[in-house]
Amino acid sequence: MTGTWESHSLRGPRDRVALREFKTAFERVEPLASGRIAGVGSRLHLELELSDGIGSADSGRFDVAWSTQDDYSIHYTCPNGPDTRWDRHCHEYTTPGDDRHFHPPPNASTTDSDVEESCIRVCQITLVAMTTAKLWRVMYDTGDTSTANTISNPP
Amino acid sequence: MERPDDPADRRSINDDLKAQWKAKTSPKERVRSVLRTVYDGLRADEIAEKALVAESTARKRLEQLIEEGYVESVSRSNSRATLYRRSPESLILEEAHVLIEEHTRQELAETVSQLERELETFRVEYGTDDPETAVLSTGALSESTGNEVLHDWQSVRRDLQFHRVALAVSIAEDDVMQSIA
Repeated sequence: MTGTWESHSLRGPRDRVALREFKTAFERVEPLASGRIAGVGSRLHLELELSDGIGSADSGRFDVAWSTQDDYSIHYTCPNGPDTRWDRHCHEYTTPGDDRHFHPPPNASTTDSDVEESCIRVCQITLVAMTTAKLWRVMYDTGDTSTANTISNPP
Repeated sequence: MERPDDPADRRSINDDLKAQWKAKTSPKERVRSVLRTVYDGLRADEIAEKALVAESTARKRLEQLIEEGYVESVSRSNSRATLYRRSPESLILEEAHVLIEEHTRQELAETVSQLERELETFRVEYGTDDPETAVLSTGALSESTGNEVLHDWQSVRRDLQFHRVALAVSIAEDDVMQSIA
């Protein structure tokens, strides 16, 4: 369960308050989601279960870690399905130049040339949660994970 | 406070969601939501921008939140502006309250013991009580390992404090009520 995402480089300690804020905001906009705070200390994180999955998967889950300095790791997995991650923390990848980066599906690649700039540009916890829920909902409705890091809707 | 759409005339999800947040919540809720996790202090205009409210609205709500004990004003030697942050007391008691609601006293006691053991392991390994000192003074750690140790250690220390207070409040509540009965 833990250890499935790189959490080592979040700045500042893990923050329960932020995780509850994320859970509340996500559940408010996504009826298929149900969250619980899990782990303590350095393993503290939010598990958001989705009661249906993208494409052929019949469930999915976000694991969210968040620090007091608003670094985060938002990791989506589902059984036999795509695995992807939106992060904000210091990193050593060639791109992007800033802290907010994206590990693309199907396996949340950590290969240097695969890592991209994250489409999540908002900072406020509630807005990050709402953006994540929206990105998930678009993938769920289309069954297509290629929009996982797509910021824009057509006009 | 609304940002114009980007030059390509495409509405971004991020801007849509700001509008949605604004439509579904009151200015008071948004100011409170922003302040919930402000630990270092922000100026009123920074809070206004994050909460998508006018600065005058933010100032009015900040006064109310100070009155409630939710927020405190702080000054920094290097800044003339007043900064606002979440009151540590309100934060600690709120977290303790949530932990008491969600866990039995036995569970809280076990978590306190577990986190104390983890903290002791760090102390023994690095010969200090202070994670920052340990990481800065230990030349043997690479930067990424150092950051990982710092993050884990700080996380254990912070979560231990919340659990200790929750356990103490839970025990105190019973004793206080028994003494009245």
